Amino acid sequence: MERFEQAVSLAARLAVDSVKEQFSPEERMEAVEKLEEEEMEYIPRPDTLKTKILDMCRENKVAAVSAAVLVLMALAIIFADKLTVYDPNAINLMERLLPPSKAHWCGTDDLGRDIFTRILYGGRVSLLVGVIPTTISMAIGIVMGMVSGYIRQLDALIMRLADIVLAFPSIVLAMVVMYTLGATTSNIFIALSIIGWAGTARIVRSQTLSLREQEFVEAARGMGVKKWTIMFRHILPNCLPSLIVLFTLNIPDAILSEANLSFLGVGTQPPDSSWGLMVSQAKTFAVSSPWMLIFPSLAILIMVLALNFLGDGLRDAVDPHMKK
Amino acid sequence: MEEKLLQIQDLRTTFYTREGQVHAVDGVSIEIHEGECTGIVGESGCGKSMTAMSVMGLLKKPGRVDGGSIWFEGQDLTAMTPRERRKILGNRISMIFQEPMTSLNPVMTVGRQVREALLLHNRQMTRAEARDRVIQSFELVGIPDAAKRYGEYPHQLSGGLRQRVMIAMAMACDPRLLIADEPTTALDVTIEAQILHLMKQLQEEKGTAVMMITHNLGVVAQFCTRLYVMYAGKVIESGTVQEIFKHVCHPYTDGLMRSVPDMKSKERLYNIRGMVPNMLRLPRGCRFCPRCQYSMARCFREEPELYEAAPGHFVRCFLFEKEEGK
Amino acid sequence: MVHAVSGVSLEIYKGETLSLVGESGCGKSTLGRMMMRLIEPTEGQIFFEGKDITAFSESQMIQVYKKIQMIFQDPYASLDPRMKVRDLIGEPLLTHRVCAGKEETDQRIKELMHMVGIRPELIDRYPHQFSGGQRQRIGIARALALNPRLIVCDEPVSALDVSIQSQILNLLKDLQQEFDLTYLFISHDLGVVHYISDRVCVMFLGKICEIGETGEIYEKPLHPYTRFLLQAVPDMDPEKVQKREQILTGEIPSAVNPPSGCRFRTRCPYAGDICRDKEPEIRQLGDRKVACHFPLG
Repeated sequence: MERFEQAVSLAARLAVDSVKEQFSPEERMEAVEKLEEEEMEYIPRPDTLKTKILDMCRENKVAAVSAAVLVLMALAIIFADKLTVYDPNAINLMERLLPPSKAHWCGTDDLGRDIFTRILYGGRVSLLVGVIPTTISMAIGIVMGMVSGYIRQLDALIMRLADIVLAFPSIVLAMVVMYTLGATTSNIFIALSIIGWAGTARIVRSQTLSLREQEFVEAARGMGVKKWTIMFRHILPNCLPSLIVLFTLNIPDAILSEANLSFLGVGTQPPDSSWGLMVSQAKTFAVSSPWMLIFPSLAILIMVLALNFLGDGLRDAVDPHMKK
Repeated sequence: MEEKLLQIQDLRTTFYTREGQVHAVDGVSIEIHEGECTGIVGESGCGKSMTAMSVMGLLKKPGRVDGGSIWFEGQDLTAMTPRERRKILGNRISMIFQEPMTSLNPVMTVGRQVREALLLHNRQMTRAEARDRVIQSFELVGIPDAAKRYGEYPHQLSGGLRQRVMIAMAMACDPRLLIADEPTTALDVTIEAQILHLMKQLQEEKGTAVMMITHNLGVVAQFCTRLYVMYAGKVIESGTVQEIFKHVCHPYTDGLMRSVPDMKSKERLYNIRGMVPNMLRLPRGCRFCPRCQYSMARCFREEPELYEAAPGHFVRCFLFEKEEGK
Repeated sequence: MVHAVSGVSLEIYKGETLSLVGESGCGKSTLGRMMMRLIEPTEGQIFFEGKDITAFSESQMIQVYKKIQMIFQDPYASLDPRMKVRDLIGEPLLTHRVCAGKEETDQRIKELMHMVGIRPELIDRYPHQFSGGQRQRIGIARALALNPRLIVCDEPVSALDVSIQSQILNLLKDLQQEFDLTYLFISHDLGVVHYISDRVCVMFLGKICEIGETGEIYEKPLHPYTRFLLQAVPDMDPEKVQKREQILTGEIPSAVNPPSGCRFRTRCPYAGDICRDKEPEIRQLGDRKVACHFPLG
């Protein structure tokens, strides 16, 4: 303390500039408050999911392009009737097995239907099959996983159930379901939901296990917040980043499973089309009319790849620990 | 004056982040003398660890040294190739970290890890020799049952023992300089005292210079002879520990010392108002002025330099500016 | 099986600050959490305001949580990263339906923010937009929201920088005065404990070594462990050099397999045969309680 007073008085003796500019405490407070006001206007960059995803789009070009491709594909599929003049199911035996041309961009199939049109309309089935069963299976998986991770008495039961589902070859399980319930589109949803939830449940459970030990969950318990409220208010939102990633990676799985089922004849039924069914129907013409096989396969390939790239990008963006 | 072992001159380390440039170390000059303990004190984010990382060349992206020089035994480390630098690191300069668990490989026995470090810099040594040397060094750092501990994994050891292993590893090649980054912060009080005592003893026996990075003023008072206080990327006060603890000059250092509860009086603790500035948005003028109870109009405008308040005692504050030649 | 805390009895008086001090693994945090039944005790009872809360049902406990609150160590982990300050401080208010309507809740949240020294304008920010000290203030505001009687402070300042630590300590003291709070203060920092507490309880490996008035314990420790603990703190005066004999040797024994008799005996230079064979009972010595066969005179 004395040191400062000494310094101040020394400075005064030497008539240093500093002394002339000495503040009274009020003046000092004023200067400080002015700075603080300035500081208040500065909002630190929020670190939310939204900003992370925007950053990813800026930095990870592959993921950004994939996202754009997916949006384009989705739009094309939704507005299929505006993009093509053909009817997907109209048989025209005069124009069967035509190679790609200006009139038929992707050629025609053995019944003279325009393949491009059928890809667009078939995409509707594939897209629905990608999104709906994934949503259902993840919803089941989230609840099962959270309950299993948070309420330890139910853990063993739920996890053994998940083990059973995972131990079964999934395509066989789906085929059994399809045979017993009948091959309709809504039954595909059911079949894929039944095989899909277990993976999600495992991931959510492990996240719940680590989150429940976090101090903020303990704090909520110490406030008297009820179990279920804690699960949905604190645990679920903190699992969200990885769930979004999981969602984008699960969709291609579902699309491929549907393609497999259709290829095996227990999925989508003619005359409706789906990409998997189109590939299946093309198998006898694979050598003579390869376009029948190539274009639907390409559609599956592009969509699955784009989803995977996007999922990887999202994972890197929201979960920096998993980055290589 | 003794030989200068390490001389950091006007070091600048910048992090190029998405939000802008962070000058984590902003023109820092530090001298470490042969065989001496030098403390670097400051709160988190003041740049003390980044200074050490810059010396070790361990900066991670997006950080980069983009100015200044680091002279060690007459060589400029910043001008070296990474290969040349690696020869010095771990051999002539070594480092111990705050959390020994994260700096040890969890799937390798501790003895083998120290042996590898030893063999890396002593190519002619045989494995058996190295093993004996490691066990000796374990005994030296006070690890009981050294031969048995040699074959154990890091998770089987307590925090104090792990830190002893780290010290053994760091001292394996008899370095001239040991950089200790908060070596006792993660440890319990009684273990902290043991480790500090051990370091002091080794330092005196082997004449190793130590650069002690810490936030704990008590550790500095007990362990170091020279002290640098850092704030927001700059050295704001430097001198011998005796001098600074007796005649503290910078208002920040003074405030820091009076903020520590001292186990003697229950008088209301002094508070430095406000908080450490955001390194992305440093105030104009003196970086401490918004929190300083002596700040003047000038402090909000200009940045002070280091002024010599007493021989060898430098302070970055206008109150200690001497108008010479006037 | 690990007895993290075994056979501990202590009282906390209204309006005081009782500190639990000890090194890692001594069971101080476990004890603090058991008081809120965040960890269920295997044996024994906890009386709060004369009632045995260990026998309480879940719904009865919710009423107790109104009166006992907790402040946590890590200001980064104790606030849900995906919630705004409004929701964080509002959560206890919402859970116990203390405020009628949104406006009153907002009013109360802003009042609490003001109380702990955070500008109420920042109500819609996320925790990561604050510094560590500010986050700890938010944690304190949340603990105060329900006007509790007892606050369990689990190492509330050990993750903070020195200059921020003293701000928070003074804040806790001011709040105690203003709202007549009782603190159970858990810490390993002996300086902080001296500053904040009226009484101190020193623990070692799940057992109490010594309880007494702060001043007395710091001046004249009766348990050898207390003395070594106090001497281990590096002194701020460079001229007072720590001596070799003041440093405790050995490691902290494992709680899985504690030594027989007195748990401190493996490190204690005063230990005799009786310390190995018989566990020392806690006994009254003047104003103090000590568990040692050979208390220091």
